[in-house]
Amino acid sequence: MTLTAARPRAAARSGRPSGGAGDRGTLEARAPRRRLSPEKIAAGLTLVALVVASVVSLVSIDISIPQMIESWGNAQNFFERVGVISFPEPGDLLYLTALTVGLVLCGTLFAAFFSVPIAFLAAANTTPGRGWMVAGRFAGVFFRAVPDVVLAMVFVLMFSLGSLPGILAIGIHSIGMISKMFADAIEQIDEGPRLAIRAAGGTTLQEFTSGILPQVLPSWVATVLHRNDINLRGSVILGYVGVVGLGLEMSYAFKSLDYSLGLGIALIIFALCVVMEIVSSVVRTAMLGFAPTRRSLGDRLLRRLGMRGRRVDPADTSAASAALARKMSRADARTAALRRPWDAARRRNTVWGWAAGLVIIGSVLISDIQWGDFVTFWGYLPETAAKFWPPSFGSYDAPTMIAAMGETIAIALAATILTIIASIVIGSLAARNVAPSPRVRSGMRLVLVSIRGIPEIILAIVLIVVTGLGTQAGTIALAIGGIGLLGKLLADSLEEVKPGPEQALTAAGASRLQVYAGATAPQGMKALIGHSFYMLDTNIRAATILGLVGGGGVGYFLLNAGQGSRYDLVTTIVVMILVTVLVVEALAMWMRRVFR
Amino acid sequence: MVFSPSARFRTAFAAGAAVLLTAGLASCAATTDDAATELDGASDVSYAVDENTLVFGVVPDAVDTQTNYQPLMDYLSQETGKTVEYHESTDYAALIEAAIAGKVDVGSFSGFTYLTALNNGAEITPISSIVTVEGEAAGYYSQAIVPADSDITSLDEFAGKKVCFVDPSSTSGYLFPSYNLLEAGVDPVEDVTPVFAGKHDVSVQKVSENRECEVGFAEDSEVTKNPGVKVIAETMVPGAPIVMSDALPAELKTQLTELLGEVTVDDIIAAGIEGADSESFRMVFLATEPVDDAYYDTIRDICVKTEAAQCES
Amino acid sequence: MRELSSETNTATDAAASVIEVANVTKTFGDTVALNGASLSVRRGEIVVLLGLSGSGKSTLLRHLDGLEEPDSGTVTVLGEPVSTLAGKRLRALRGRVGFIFQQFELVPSLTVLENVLTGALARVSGPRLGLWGYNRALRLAALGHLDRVGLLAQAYQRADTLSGGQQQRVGIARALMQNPEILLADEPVASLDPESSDQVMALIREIAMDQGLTVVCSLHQVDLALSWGDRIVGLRHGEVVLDTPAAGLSKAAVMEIYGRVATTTAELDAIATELESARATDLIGATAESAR
Repeated sequence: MTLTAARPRAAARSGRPSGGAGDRGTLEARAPRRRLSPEKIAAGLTLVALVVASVVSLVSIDISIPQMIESWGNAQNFFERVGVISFPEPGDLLYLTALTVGLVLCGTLFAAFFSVPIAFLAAANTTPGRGWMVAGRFAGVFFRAVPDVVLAMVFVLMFSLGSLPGILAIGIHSIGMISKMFADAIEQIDEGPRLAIRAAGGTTLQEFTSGILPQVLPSWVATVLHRNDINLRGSVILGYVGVVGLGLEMSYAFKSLDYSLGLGIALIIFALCVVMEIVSSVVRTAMLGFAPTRRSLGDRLLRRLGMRGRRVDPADTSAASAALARKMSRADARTAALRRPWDAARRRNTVWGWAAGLVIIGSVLISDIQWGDFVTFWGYLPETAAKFWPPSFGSYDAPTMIAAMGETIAIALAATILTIIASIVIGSLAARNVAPSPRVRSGMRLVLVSIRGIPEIILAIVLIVVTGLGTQAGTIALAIGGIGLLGKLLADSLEEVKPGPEQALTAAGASRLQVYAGATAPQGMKALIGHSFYMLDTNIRAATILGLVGGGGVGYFLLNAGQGSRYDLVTTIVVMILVTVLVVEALAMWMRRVFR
Repeated sequence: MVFSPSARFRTAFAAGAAVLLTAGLASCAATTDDAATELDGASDVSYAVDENTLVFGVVPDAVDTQTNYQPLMDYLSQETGKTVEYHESTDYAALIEAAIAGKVDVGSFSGFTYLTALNNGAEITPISSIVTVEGEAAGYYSQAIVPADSDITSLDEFAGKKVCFVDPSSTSGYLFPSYNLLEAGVDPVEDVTPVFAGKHDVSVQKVSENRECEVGFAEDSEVTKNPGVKVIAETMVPGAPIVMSDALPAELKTQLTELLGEVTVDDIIAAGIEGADSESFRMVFLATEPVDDAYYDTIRDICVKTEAAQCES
Repeated sequence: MRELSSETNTATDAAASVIEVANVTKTFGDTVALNGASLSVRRGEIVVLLGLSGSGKSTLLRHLDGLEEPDSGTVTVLGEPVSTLAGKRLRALRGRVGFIFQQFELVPSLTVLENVLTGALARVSGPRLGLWGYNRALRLAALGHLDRVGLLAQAYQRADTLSGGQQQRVGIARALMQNPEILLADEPVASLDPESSDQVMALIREIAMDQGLTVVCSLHQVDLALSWGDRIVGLRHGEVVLDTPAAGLSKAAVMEIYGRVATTTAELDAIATELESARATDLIGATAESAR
């Protein structure tokens, strides 16, 4: 440290009298050296180590492309056997669809409700103390790490069969993500209005409802809608552990090898996801007054239909009120102003409010929740908890389980690196400011939406036919599924970079690729690192699910222990997953801080 | 690139053509004209991965099985001189598809799964079934249960009741129970209110609570854990077969039949396999007894009677 | 030189004093924001805190509303020991003191009326969501305040659709909604264009005169301070360096103010030139006089 600092000065002094060629050396010597903090170096090395580990995992998983091509005929045979896709009876279909949507919505709303206090504790600017903040953040990570599949298995023991175990599994698991996003939104608010309310003598709760809530509401609604989409897709997997709805019917169909029906239901779920995405856009636009500038499918549809996020036209209402005011005395005018005019904004808000209320009531009704369970379940709680404690390795030994966990991590790492590579290409081309033409962008966006609509479990089953049993199928299924998410996140992040530097480079005569490499990509780098860690986190949890289809790793043990009621083993495995996810989360937080 | 390797190329081409020709002749002679095997090269013999590897796929049969087959794998590897790749899954569909696609050399899955795989075109042959309890036959029981204080004593009294099954694809939790109910004159769809509990222990628990289900069915291993229910009837479910792919070479098939047909845990310990002499292995493996295709005719019969979806090809 | 030292301040009638700051010191990390500052304000006074940015004006104002706690010294407002108050009593006191912010600090996504109504939160209990969370009387009062600041017609517009000047007027209406006895304003026009500035400053003064409010307002422009306030309190590096009535100051006295409040000679020169031209049109004298 002292050496490097001293050197330039000494060199500069000695170099000063000489001219010509000497000057060049002087300039180089005089130039300040790039200083990297030890922490940055450590973080960089950790990233490199993770990439190396991912590549090693990928190589060890031994995905043999020639063999896959050779086995392609198997896939053809498989699809021939599937034959014509069939659907459930229209009546059943309608009920199952409504049930699935209702159940998922109830679960998401449950999560949203309980996420509010947790987010309040977890946000740095609202937390009552550091201890609370750590507890709040930990609660989030904890709920995220406990797989909803495990929760569903537990809840069928404590609640009536039917929708409630599913709602609670979705709800409790979703608290993890929703509370985190809620807390992040709180941390990003403008502190001013809150301060103003405090200055006016408001209580903490009033500060929250009048100062914070109005600011975070748009972001919160967007989060809830996003999570609802994820939960809708996730309900497919939950069907495999007996949560009612389309997912369960699909799992029955697949288990009895009725692929024609199974894929038919999968197709319906895909369509539902697309519809939900459109509805989300409409809600965001209409309810929150956002202009449809987002890049999602629904937004584009809206733009095409000519719907704009309308703001109140100031001239419109003020002119009307002013005209009203002129005819009356001041006091009368004030009294008259008590009645809020039925302007476009109010009409729209009222309609949407009622619609949302009706949908929620409908969801609760169709889910047919056994409210009595909330009373009776306390009786089952001690008995059920006792089944899970103390944790044990069952008839396996610790090395076996740790090796299985290692395999899960390897699958997740390998899948993540594949996803990153593919997402950089597809995600970049799906970004408006990178895509060579709008058509390419639309095409790529469509690819991303389609990928997101395919349940990974189906992907994995089809892949097994091609790759054989083992980790390959699981890895490729995760990698492909991940592209849908990471590609979208990356494309959105790239579109959000500041356009200034890009324009500057274009103005300086840079080519499209140069602009991308010189301005767009560097600005998107931070987001890529953040999203990649999120992807890794998601993949570790998803890899556990792929044990369902012989994907290898700890998932098989988890599901088998669950099916075989070895709940002490379930606890052990969940703790292992929790520790791993916590480590990834800690790494991600560290990276975010270092590469700020 | 252009000149010198031409000679080598020519020999390689000649060799390839020869192989193709022999393959074509072989397939003509055997009259099993499978285009895929022709392209694969030698004959209709094939492996899931390659000739040095055996792929062993497993779906646990009984629900409380904690599959610890490692000593068996080691034994197989030692005796055949091949690497054994061991894969387990909780989903029958994945394993069945792998078997149909020829991606499994040796496997162990439930009797029902075996038939389903056969019906869907898998070319596999059963060798033996694993015995886990001294002095008992391979297999386990599907039991009809009622709450401990119930007056119900026979299956025909199940009519009109809320009946807990496991799930529609469960052998001991739905198919055998459906068959038994039909035998007792009760239609498992029309005459009762079926409730699918999803898991065996849940089915047992719900019956013991006598609220969501008044009676039900589950596997014996889960039933014994809960004193809140009693058994009024039971049926033996044929044990899961160890199967091998028909595409393996004849001598290997013979060797596998010898190895796995009638082997006891003591044989494996005597062969010097590490970890074979352990409680966790004895729990899942005591010996094998040979079985053949006819052993599963009970299940075929059930297929016919219950018209289960799985039995269709 | 009519300079009022701190001894004169302590000599003022304690009964009429509504704000009493004694030897307050406050540091943020290494930065000393207030360094033994003292101040006494009588009921009905219109006081300007004058100083460059970083001189401690905002910190002092925030102490008056209990938004900061002093490291040492005491702050007494309306007879209450602000620096030791907490919970309900602190909120009750805050309710009696209105605060106007430089950045307005309105909730952008709420309507103007809802923003004004948040001024009543200290008087109601519990959280309030939406317009109908407040009773009719409160809504009517809020509309009255909006009318007072000339924005009745904009009551149902979103706050972020208003211009800066309009937003600050909403900020004033919100402070009025508290029915305050004291009005604190932290650089209320620093973010506004000159025209809106004049409107807002005039409005604050008018309302203060009408309702007999005590006002403490921080500013950094000497000419505005002189023309607007009754009394100028100068701050530099967290210390009170000047305390003088604004009226009838000689040119020398004004230069003295600049000298005490501004830091560099370059700034002083620039200000002197500006002041010279202003003096020529007799701006300062005239407006200061007419405002009284």
